[in-house]
Amino acid sequence: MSSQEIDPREFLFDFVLYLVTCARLHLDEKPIYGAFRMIEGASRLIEAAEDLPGWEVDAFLAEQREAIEANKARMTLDKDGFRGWLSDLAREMAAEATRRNLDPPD
Amino acid sequence: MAVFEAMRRRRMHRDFRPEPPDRATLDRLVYAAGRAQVARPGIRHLIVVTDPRIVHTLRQACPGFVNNAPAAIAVCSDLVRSEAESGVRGVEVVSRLDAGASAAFMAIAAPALGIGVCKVTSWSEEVVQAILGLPEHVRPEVLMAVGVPVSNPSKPLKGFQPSVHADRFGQPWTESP
Repeated sequence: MSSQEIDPREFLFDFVLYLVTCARLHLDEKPIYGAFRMIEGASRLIEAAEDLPGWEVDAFLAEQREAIEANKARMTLDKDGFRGWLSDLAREMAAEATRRNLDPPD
Repeated sequence: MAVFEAMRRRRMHRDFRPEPPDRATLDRLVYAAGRAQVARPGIRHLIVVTDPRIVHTLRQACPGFVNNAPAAIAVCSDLVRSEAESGVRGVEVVSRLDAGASAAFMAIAAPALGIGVCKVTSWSEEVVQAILGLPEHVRPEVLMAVGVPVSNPSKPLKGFQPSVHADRFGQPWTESP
């Protein structure tokens, strides 16, 4: 856990606010922006979890957050690349979920 | 600074120092925003936001506010006055064009003032109305983040040149030799 511990109630409000305002905005935007904002939300959630008391971010999620931060901006100038990367990420997450369900950690 | 030099140096900044520009600088930026064309008096409203609590709220609730600017200026239009003067076209077209010009004036003025701006694109009108306490008939048109940029301004992106036509669409405009 980092030294900058955050208030869970404050984070919860911030995150719900982010989701709601993004949902409203998405009514007026192209679908790819919705994808971008959801993936941004995933990154924010992982980042906050690193600082939330009692939460723990495993290496897999920490790695995915790094990947999100490295690739999310491709949405603006490399839409095909963004789509391909996001497909790979979704596939990787599904495979990880399968691994965890078939072989849960002790 | 000559106007064309200011145009050349214009940037949308993302990384700002924590302290807002001083009041005199903001006054000059407000002057620039107000000098852009507007259809009639009384239509344009500028909300200068320097209260860190309100800037923080804008950042929280506007998904496109992804920079760390310590101040913002909202360019707004009084739709009742706009409609009274110019009808539906005033509300749907002219006021938005004029607000865009106001944003451009700020972007051009910023380098001369030693500050940086960033047009925040993705937000909902009702959200910004609620945060800034705008009456229902005052529509936020442009949200411009404002601050003192860090010393390494971003480089301009390539490929944003317009297609220029001579007389009719498809006939290329050639620059003078």
